[in-house]
Amino acid sequence: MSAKSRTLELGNVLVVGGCGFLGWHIVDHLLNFPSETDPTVALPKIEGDARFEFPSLASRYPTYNANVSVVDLRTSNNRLPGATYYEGDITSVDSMMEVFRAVKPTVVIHTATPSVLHASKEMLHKVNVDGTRTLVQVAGGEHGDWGGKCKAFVYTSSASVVHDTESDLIHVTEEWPLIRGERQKEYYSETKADAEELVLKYNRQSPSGMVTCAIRPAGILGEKDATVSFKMTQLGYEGSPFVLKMQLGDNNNLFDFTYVGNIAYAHMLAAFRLVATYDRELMEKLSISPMTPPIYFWDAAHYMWALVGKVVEPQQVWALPEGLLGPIGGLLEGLMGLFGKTPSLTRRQVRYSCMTRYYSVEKAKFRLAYLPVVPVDEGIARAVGYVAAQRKESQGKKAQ
Amino acid sequence: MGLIGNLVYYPFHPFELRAIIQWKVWHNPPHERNEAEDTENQKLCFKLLDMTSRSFAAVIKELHPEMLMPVCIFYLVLRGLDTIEDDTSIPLKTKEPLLRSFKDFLTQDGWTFDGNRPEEKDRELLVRFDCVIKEFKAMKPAYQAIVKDITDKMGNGMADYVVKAENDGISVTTVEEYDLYCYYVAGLVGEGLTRLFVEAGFGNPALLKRPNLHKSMGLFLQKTNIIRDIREDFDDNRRFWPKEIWSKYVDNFEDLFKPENKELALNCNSHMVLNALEHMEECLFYLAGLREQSVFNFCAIPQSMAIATMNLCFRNYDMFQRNIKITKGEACGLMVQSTQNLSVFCDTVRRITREIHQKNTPKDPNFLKISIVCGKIEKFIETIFPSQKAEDAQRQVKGEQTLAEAKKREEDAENRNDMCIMMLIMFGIVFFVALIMMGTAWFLGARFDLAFKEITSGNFRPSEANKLLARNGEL
Repeated sequence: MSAKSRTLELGNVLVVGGCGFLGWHIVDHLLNFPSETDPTVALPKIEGDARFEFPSLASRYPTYNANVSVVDLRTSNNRLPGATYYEGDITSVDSMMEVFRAVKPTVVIHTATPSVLHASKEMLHKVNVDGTRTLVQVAGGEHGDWGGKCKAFVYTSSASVVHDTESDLIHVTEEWPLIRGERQKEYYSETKADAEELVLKYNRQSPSGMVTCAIRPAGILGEKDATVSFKMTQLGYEGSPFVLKMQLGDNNNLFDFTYVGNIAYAHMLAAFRLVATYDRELMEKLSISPMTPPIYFWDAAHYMWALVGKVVEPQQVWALPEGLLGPIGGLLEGLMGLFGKTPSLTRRQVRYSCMTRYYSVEKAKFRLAYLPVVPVDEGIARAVGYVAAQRKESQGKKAQ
Repeated sequence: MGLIGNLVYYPFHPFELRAIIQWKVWHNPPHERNEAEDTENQKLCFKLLDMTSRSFAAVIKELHPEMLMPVCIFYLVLRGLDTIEDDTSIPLKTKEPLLRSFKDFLTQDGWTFDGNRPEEKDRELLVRFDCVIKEFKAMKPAYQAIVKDITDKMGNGMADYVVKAENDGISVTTVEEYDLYCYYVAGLVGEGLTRLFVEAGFGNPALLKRPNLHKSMGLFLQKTNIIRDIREDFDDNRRFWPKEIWSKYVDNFEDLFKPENKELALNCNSHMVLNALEHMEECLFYLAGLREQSVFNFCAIPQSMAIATMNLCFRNYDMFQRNIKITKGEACGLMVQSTQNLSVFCDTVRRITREIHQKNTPKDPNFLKISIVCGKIEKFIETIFPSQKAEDAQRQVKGEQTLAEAKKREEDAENRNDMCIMMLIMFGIVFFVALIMMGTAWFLGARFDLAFKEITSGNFRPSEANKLLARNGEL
């Protein structure tokens, strides 16, 4: 399964949003894992626990030969030695031109996006749609020469662009249509779909002839994740045994959870392929979902909780049927909505934990020679280990 | 289970009882064999087959006539080899050359062997081996070559193993060795059978280009047996579980059977089950390449039995204490489901996979790996029989109906039409009958004009006077 024994030449790479969760991992990969060799940027770790001992990432992912630059709104956090950091705003042409003049990237990897949970609609539209448009135009040389030529543009889209937030998705391929307008109940996905279309339309259409593609991750988790794995682990620590025994649905629903490193790897493979095809044939519009094999939704939760010492055995589980919970969630939403709050159990959460949602990985395999290098069990354990170690650290500080 | 056991068990498991009846009564073999046409020698071979195999004899006998004798002979030859290898009373010096040259006996008219100890259960087979040889030589040369080649490979593999066992004791150290052992015992059989099927045109020739597929077919069956038989093998002083796996849980193999190590034994067991389940995807892939019903049945039945046995063994401590088996009712149900088509078979596999997944517990270190392997099996079934299609999703987005929906709508409209017509006919009949009844009443002197007048003047009930009149009239 190793992708090792390869060195990928990428030239000047600009990672947009490189101080974010996925962005940081991409930079870490491109710099050949300073997080594993440089103690000043090492991730917190639980020592002496075999469940959190993993083989190094550097030994499994390819080696990269790249000059790495990062542009982000704020660059004080999540910095790695070896990369050059620029503060900039992707919605401003001037700000971007300045960065491009300094970096002269051959490859742009665009991961920047506001949080799906906290950002307003205006914000989502401004960054995801307007920002991406500005960026792809600047990269393609539409706003004037910045002293170089960008050959490849890789955009981080989302697998949710083909999902209406309610239906099951069973082994879905990239041929599925984008869900837009009224059918799309999540505005974030709407903006991601807009941006993806925009980026793919620019394939070979800009003055520089830059090639573009979109990567669509789903259920992304890993170290530094502040959403899925973080919240589930937190629940494992703080939830009462009673709460942890609850299970929504029958747990026969397979769900994609993907380790962030595998997603980062897919970005680099895509960039490498695009650079290679830039000088050759025209490529068709390319969007790719690089996932690992899916697992049963509640198995992921139970695994995380077991890793923090809360084992829920199958015979202890209270499986509550979705048909019962949906209305309860709706009722809570309605009642708490009166006070302007969101309940801890919403209809969407109920549906998400009961739905089957996984994607075909065939295209990624075929077009990018992609393999999920880190298996999903290790990915989850890495994510939980990170949260556990951070907790321990902050508790240690409190004790002092 | 004895008779009384069955009498208690089946009333509480009506579905299993139904499956038994279903199999015994309704199952029609795809190819009926006319026993009267068999030669004396063939009859003898089938007798030997019945004697040496409990489970395989029935499925072999239902095979397509073209495959019947070759597979039967193939089975008997390998069983012959096995009988020599198993017999601990034969010294290594005699055994090794016997195993290595067994392929040559196949063409020696009248070769028999009576060197087995009397208690060896299949001794009779080798004593009467001349009749197997006779049938072997009557087969098509292409089939002969395949059977001979596999016999050669297996004989040598067994000989190597026997020599090694004599020198280093019987044990399997690494997972690689475990796979190799299973390959010699069962994987080779898969290879031989596949070559026979393809030669006869009953299997997709691509099956030979992917040797992993038939290898997995054999390995899955063999690994299932090895997992299930751990107690029996241990009592007979044989160990097939690889040290690489069990040493992760206990220091000595015999510790697996100590009651205080129950949890460790169960975890080790799930590691073994996980290792076996990894073959399931390739088994499904293989079955998709078969083209003839009886051959499909022949291959699918043992596979469904095996995965059901895996389900029985998974997280079940009983298997460390005694020999466990799936019930007869379940076996019959599986046979019914394995003799239809790949789709039905896949449904069965998915059902059992989910049963395994539902027993999976997070306290087991293999917990998520088992979840992954179950997910992989389900996902693979989706690639063969997708439940969602891109075209349908496209139509939905465009607001069009999917084919299935359009069809359903059409059917609904048709049903409504039928309903209307039925109602019309009903009312017609009611009207007609009412007309006749009223006509008859009028004919017999009913005064509808009076009744009508009473009603229009508001008297819905008969007046007291009328009631009296009526009573008097009766008198």
